[in-house]
Amino acid sequence: MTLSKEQIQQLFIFTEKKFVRWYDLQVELVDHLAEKIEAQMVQDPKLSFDRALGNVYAGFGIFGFAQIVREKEEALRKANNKMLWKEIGRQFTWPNLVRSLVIISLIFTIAFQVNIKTLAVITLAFYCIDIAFNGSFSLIKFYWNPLKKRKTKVEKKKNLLMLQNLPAFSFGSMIYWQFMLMRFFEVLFDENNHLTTGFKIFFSLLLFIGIPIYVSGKNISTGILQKAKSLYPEAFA
Amino acid sequence: MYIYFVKQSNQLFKGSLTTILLKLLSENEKMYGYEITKKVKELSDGKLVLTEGALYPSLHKLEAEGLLEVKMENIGNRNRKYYSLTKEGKKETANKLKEVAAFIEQMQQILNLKPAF
Repeated sequence: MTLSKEQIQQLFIFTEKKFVRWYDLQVELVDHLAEKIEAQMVQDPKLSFDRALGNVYAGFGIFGFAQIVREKEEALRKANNKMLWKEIGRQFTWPNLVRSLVIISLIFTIAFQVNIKTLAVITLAFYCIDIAFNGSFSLIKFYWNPLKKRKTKVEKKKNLLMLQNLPAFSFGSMIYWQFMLMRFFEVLFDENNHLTTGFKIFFSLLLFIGIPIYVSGKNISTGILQKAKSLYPEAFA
Repeated sequence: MYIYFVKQSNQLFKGSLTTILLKLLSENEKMYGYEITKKVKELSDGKLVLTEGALYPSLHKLEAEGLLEVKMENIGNRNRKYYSLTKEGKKETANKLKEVAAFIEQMQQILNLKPAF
């Protein structure tokens, strides 16, 4: 006894109606439901598909699929955080550490030598880059909650739970807000409209931490996306 | 908190689900969810029934922890998700089994259990 393609499709619709909106979870639940329904229909050939589905779903208990969804989300959240911290740690080791130091040195030698007007242009450029790459005004969210995770925009046909809440950080907005702060607090500038040494040190430290966090978020998100594409190619356009 | 086993909702079994899953996967190259429930039922002569509400969260947790890896296979009219042990998962299985063996030995000593014939 094997269920037809139409019946399998009905099972996908059924899981969707039961608030399982993610394809990666639907696939597993549909297979489970299908195999159990097939077994019941073999035992009792007179049993209808709908009746068998009702029986099988009852086996999931009073919470239905809700507990499975909730716990998977929690497991993924923990796993992503663990991976992120591990990756951040890796970014502070050779040779990644050198990259951060080179970027900071470049900023010191180029950006910090110019006056406030040039800095305003650089700020605007970073702001435009932020909008171009993130597709939205992410800076306010970033400012209020720097570790706020944002959804990675991926062209796909179906939602995947594994792609929810990917770690991603906006680097452009971080820099933008620092320059904005500088503008508001004139104490950051000396009498020649140049940045004070104190702020330069503060900003360098910020970059020293910010670059590894940003790169780690990108690396983790890319890895998860590649895994999702290899496991569920049909979910992508 | 959860009911892992319906027919024999014994507290003793509640903490053993992870070990059971790891052990089953160590004996089989790959397994899928429903196959695991069938195997547990078969091995316990129907005395233990693993519920879906307990099985899948445990599998997903083990996968997230990097102890299991997954592979999708098309089986005609649908796709199936197979689980197998990672290198880390194999090590963890050995550790868990050692822990269980030590626990049983200690209980044997403390309670002086004699096998009933």
